[in-house]
Amino acid sequence: MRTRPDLLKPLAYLIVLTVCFSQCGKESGQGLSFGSKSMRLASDHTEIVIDSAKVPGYWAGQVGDGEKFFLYSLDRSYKKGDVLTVEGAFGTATAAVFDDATRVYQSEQVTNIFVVWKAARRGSEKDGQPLFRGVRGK
Amino acid sequence: MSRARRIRLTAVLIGLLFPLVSCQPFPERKGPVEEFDMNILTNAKSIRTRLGEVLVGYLAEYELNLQKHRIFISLEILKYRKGERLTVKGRFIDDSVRISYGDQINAEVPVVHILRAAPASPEKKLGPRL
Repeated sequence: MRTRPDLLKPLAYLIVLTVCFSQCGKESGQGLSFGSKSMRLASDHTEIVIDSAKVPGYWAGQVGDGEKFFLYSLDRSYKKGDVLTVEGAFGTATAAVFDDATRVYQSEQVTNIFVVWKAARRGSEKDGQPLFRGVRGK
Repeated sequence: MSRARRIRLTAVLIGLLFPLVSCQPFPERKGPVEEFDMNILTNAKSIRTRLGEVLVGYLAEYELNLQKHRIFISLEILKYRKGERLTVKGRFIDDSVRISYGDQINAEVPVVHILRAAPASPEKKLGPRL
């Protein structure tokens, strides 16, 4: 199949632009992974700031190794100490964070972020209820 | 090369420069990281700087050589309160704000971008830490 020459140019420009843009922000994000994790909430609903945008959610430690994550969620119904099984995407980002317990603020903090698509509280009636409003059963 | 082709090539090159330039960080206009013990004088404020940037933060005061100095501390999360004493690590940036406080009307105050802040222990005196 022959490609029309007048389509080749815009296509080439598009590829180059995509490559150029993909270099932006490489320092702050290191790619995404997907999966399910068991988390114990270490805070009530709070927020962090990434690139001047407020990101609501919870601090949590992974059950087992205790690795610290920020779970991005709009749902305020969970409480510190709840154990959740969460599904979603995770990666790292540079964020400004405030620890409510110690009142310590840090900007430019490399943080593990977990974008929650679905959450189930362990052994609770809320099993299967999505944390992320507007996204169901993903 | 035809004139139309040259113009198109130039336009493409200029177009490619935009994303490359946008990837570069802003010109460095920050000082070294310093550590201070300071007192927050006001509630959180949103304020436009001399260079036109809108910042949020607090007016704060620290003591150096028996003189009190006022600075605007810029933070992205505003959970501290007026009157709170903090130990902060931050950088002076090449910018300032005009702010009225007490007997000083529209005084020019330097801006410090805060990297870390924590409540100061009660026995600490205000001022840079040596």
